[in-house]
Amino acid sequence: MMKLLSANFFSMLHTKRLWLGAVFMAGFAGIEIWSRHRLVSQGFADANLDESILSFAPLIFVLLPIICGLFINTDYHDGTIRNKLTVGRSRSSVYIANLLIVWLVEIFYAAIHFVVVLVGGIGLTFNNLADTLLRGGLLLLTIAALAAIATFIATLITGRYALVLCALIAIGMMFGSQMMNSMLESPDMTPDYRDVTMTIDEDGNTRYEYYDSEGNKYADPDDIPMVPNPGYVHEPLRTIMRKYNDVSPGGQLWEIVQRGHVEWDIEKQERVELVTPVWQLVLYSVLLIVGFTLLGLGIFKRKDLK
Amino acid sequence: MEYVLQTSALGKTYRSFKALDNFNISVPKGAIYGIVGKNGAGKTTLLRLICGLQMPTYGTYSLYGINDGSPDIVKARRRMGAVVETPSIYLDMTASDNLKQQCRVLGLPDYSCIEELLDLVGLSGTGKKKAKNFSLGMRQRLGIAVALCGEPDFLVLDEPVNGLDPQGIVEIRELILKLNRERDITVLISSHILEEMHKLATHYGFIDGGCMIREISAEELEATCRKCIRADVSDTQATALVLDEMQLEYKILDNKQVDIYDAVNMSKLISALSEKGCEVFSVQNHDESLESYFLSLVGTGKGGECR
Repeated sequence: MMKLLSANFFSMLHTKRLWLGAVFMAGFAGIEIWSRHRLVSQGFADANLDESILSFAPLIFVLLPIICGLFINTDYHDGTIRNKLTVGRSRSSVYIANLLIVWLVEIFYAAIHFVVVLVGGIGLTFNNLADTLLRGGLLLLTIAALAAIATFIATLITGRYALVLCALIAIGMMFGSQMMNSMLESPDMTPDYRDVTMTIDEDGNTRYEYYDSEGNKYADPDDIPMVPNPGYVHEPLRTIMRKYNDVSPGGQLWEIVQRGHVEWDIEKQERVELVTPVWQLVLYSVLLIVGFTLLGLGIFKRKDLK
Repeated sequence: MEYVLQTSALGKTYRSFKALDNFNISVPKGAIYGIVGKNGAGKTTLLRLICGLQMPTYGTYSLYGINDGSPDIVKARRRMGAVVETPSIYLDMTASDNLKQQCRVLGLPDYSCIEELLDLVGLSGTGKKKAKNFSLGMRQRLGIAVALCGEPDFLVLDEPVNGLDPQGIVEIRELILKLNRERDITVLISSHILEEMHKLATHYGFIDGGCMIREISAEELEATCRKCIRADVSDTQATALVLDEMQLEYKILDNKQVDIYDAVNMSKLISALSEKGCEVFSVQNHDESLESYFLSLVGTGKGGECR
C-alpha cells in the first residue's frame, strides 16, 4: 500500500493540474481575504476570519472531484494501471491508494487556503476559534465523503466522461441541495394576488400595492386571501428531501457553512431555524465513505480491465 | 520440463461471445513463446487474463506452478513484466521518471537499475524529453523498460512490433533476443506477423477462435516446413528400400507419399524404383512456409479445431 501511495504521490506531483488547482485555491483565498479587509474597512463586516477561513469548502467541493477524476482516469487512459496490477499489486490496494491520494490533495488545497487567509488576514482575529475549527473539520469530512464517491465513479468508469460525471455530480449535489433547502423553506399557503407595484413616496419609504385578478387594488395587504402554495413540498417527499440534505455531501456543505437550515413550520406558520446534530453529520459522512469504498472495492475486484 | 505458465481449460466470455474457449497452453522456462493467431483470435484476452487484468470465466492458469486462485499468485506476478496492447507509460513524464515511478510501484530500494535499463532499450539519450513526444518505437521500448523494472524472469509482450518501422522492428527483435539469451528471460509474445515471429520464437502456439489449435517447437516447425521433394508412388516400402540404398534422407507420409529432403538425381531414382516395380506418379517441390502452415491449421476463416 505504501509503495502505491508513494507512486501515486510522485505522479500527482508531476501533474500540472494539481499545481493549477493550487494556484486557483491560493488566488481564491487571496481574493477572499482582500474582500474581507475591504468590507471591514467600509464597516460592512466584522473584523474576524471565521467565515473567510471556511470559504474554501465550496471551491474544493467542485475542484476535488475534477482532480480525482483526472488523476484516476489518467491511469486508465495511459494504461499505467496495468503496470500496478501486472506486478502483483492487489486491486484493493490500488483503490485505497487512489482514495488516500485524493484525500491528501484535499488537505493540501485546504492548507493552501488556510495559509493564504491567515497570512493575508494578519490583523484580523477569530470570533470563535473552537467553532471554526469544528466546522472546518466537518467540512473536510464531508468533502472526504464526496471524494469517496468521486473515487468510486472514476475507478469504475474508465472512459474520459468519468471526469465530466464527477464534476456534474459535485455541482449537482451542491446546487441541488441548495434548491431543496429553498423548497423546504416555502410556506404551505401563499397570498393570492396577480400584480404588485412598488412605489417610493416623498419621504423615501417603499410602498407595495397588490392587485387581484380583476385589477382591483387591495386596500390592506392583510386582506389578500391565502391559497395553497404549489411550491410547498408535502410529506413524504418533505422528509425524504430533508434526510437527503442531511446525508448528501452537498446538503452537509450548506448545513455547515450556514450553521443550520431554515424550514417552514406548518404548525407555527413561520420559518424556523434548525440545526442537524454534529454527530449525525459525522455519522452520515463516515457511512458514505465506508459504503462507497466497500462497494467500489467489491465491484473493482471483479472489473475487467483493458 | 519446467513451465512458467500453464493453463487448464481456460475460458473467457464477454456476454455471449467466447473470446477464449477451453484454452490450454504450456510455456517452458527460457523459451520465446510466440502466440500466433488472426486478429480477434483471443491472443490479447489470454494475456489480459494471465496479467490479472481480467478474471477467467472458467478454467485456471498457473504462473511458476502457483494457481491463479491462490493468494500467492501476487508473488508469482512480481516475477513478471508485461506490455499488453499499448505501452503503459505516463505521457507527461520523461523516460527516467516513468522508470522511477515503476520502481516505486515495485518498492525497489533505489533507482540504480534505471540507467542500465535505459541503456538496454536505447533510450539513455532522451534526457528531459517527455514520453508524449516519443516516437511509437521509443514508446514501445520504454514500455518494455518499464516491464523490465524489478528484473522479471517472465516477460509478456502483446504485438510488440505493431506499427513500427523496419528499423524499429529490428531493434525490438534484437532486444527481445538479447533479453532471452543474456538474461534468461522467458518471453511470451503475441503477434499476427508470422515472418517476424519466425525470427524470434523457440516455441509456437497457434490460436484461432479462442482455441489453441497446436503447440509446436521451432525445431518441429522447421522440420514440418522444410524444403523437400514430394513424390507420389505406388509402393512406399520399395521406395524406402531404394532411398536407403541411395543414402537419402526421407520421410514416409502415408502409403502413397514420400518426402525426400536431400538433392536427388531424378533419372536414377525413377529407374531404381522402376527396377523394384514401383511406379512414380508425380514429383513436385514442396516448400511449406510458416504462413501456409498457419493457414493449413486455421483454415481460411472458418477456424480450426481445438486441441
